[in-house]
Amino acid sequence: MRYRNSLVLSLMVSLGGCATLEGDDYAVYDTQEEFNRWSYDFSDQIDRAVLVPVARGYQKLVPDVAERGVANFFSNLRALPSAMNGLLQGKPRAGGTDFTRFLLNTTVGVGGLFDPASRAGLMDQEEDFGQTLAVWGWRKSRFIYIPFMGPTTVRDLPSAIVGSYVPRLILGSDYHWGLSVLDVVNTRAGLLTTTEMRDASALDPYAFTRDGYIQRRKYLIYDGEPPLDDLFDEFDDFESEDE
Amino acid sequence: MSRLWGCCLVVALSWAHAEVGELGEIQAFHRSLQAMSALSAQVDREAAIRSDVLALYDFDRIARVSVGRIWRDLPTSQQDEFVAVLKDLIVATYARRFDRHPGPQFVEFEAESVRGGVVVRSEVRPEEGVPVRLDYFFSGGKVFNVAADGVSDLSLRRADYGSVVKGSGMIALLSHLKRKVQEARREE
Repeated sequence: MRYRNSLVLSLMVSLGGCATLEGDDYAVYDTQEEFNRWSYDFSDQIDRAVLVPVARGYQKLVPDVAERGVANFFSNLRALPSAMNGLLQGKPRAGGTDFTRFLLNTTVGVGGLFDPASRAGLMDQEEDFGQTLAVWGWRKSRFIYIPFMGPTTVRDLPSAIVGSYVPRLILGSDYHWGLSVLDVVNTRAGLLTTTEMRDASALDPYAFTRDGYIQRRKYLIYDGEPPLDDLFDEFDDFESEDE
Repeated sequence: MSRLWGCCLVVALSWAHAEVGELGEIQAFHRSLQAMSALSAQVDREAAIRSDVLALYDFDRIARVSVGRIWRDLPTSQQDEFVAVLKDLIVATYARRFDRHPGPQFVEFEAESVRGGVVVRSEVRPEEGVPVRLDYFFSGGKVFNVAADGVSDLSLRRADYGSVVKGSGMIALLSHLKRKVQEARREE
């Protein structure tokens, strides 16, 4: 784990120190495509050989209600950093919603196993530190595919690393390493439909994953309301260049 | 002055009509998808939805953007072949994805006029799991792009197909797409 983190850190430093990016905000900046493709292929092989069969078995053996409970439990732990990032982005309502979610789901929802907050209309705000940095002005960032971790950008990487430590940070002495394993397996099981759809659609799964990730991040940064004109202009520009 | 107000009224009414029209088109399309999902065979579902998909989407524009800058250098026969495969693929994909009845519920919210056209906002609510936002982008009266939770179908196609064209050429792209159509049509 320490080795992985230092690898990630050195990657961040080397990528972050490169020349300024030229182009649109939130565009795809894949300056290390060769490494990223290698990393994607490597991770994909491990994923198909180990994680997918385990996740399928988990989905088959564990009743849906228990699976939802596990997902709720980890999502509830991540509501606290989400609340903090909502506040850091100057969105007190989003921060308050996540904080209220945490209180309600931890108490009424039996330690986060149930999600009464969503039923009460308090939806997960899905904020993180990568989005906070984007709101603060870091809009262009290089794409990286980290082995085992998946798609990210230099800007989003610290948040992705800290996010994986959230359960142990919040649970403290109550934390057990088995919870991290459960977190990974449950997350992978939740992504099975998505990756099956990717396999059914994509001709170049790496390019498909990379562009899907960047677009999804932009959507989250804009809280689900990205500028609509951008989506028209993006294709108009291409067509006028083409003519 | 009265003429100016008259012009404004005509423009406002035509915008309002356009929004109702596009919203109505998406409502009708979603109803067709739900009706189609009651059919058990892939071939029947494709036959049921084909005319709706062909009427809704701007396949020429989708094809041009998906392939990228080499489009204008392609012979007409290859352009036509690509558009035909794209039609088959999108129809087969709809028929494959909506194969369980009653399947997900659709909610259509509004049509919004923007600089380049109209966006119809809707949501698909699966039987289990969280709802997904579906935004349909209209230009010239037809849909050229659909975004699911902010992920644009046309952008993905452009990245995906562009990568294959760049690495292996147009013939390889056509061959890959035909294989995808066959995979989507394979009965489970």
